[in-house]
Amino acid sequence: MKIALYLSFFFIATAFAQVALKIVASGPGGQDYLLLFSDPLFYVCCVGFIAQAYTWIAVLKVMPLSQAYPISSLNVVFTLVCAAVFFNEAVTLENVIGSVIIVAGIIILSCGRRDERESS
Amino acid sequence: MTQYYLLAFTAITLTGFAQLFLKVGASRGGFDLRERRAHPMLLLGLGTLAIAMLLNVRSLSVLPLRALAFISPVAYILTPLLAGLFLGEKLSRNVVLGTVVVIVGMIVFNLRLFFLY
Repeated sequence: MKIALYLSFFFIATAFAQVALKIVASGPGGQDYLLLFSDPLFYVCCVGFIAQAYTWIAVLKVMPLSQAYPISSLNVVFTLVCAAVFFNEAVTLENVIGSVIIVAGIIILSCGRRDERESS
Repeated sequence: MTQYYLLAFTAITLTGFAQLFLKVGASRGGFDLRERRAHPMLLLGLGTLAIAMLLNVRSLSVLPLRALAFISPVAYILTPLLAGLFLGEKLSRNVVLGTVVVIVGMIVFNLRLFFLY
């Protein structure tokens, strides 16, 4: 339960940071460093990345790295959803198929974790 | 061009070691917000990640975008291997199979990049 909670916070923080970064980069701050540092959204973006680092360290406290790192690839799927919802970006067939395969891989990984807990 | 591929793979290797340092730091206490303290391995991990990011940016300024499609999955092979080697984490059949499937998924996800310059 703790693992699922920490992972959820990690995915939310990453998605938040990525969306904020895209908004900042698409604006005048993306062209000029002076404008970047005067954009309040840049600091919101920094908070997002700090939250991402903090939640990732919380995940590493409760999960082995060899399992946590592949599971973190789910960020790719969440970023795709955010890109489509917030920025109307195109979702290609290979994005969808790739996302399904990534989720399948994570399910296989998670089954392994459940088997280890039951046998120990 | 070869040196930029080497730079990119160096960045990936540093990312793997950075995750290793973060794991050790997290296991030995992590961040203590009340005492405003962080384990030194966490700081080493974050610093290494920052260097890896800079090397990545430098290499990708020259390399074609399709290079990302086959360079980025390397981190998903390397990091579990480093965890098994240095942290003694057990790489069970499901972990290996699940990781391989995730890597295949990432390659399929970025398939279009192979056709871009």
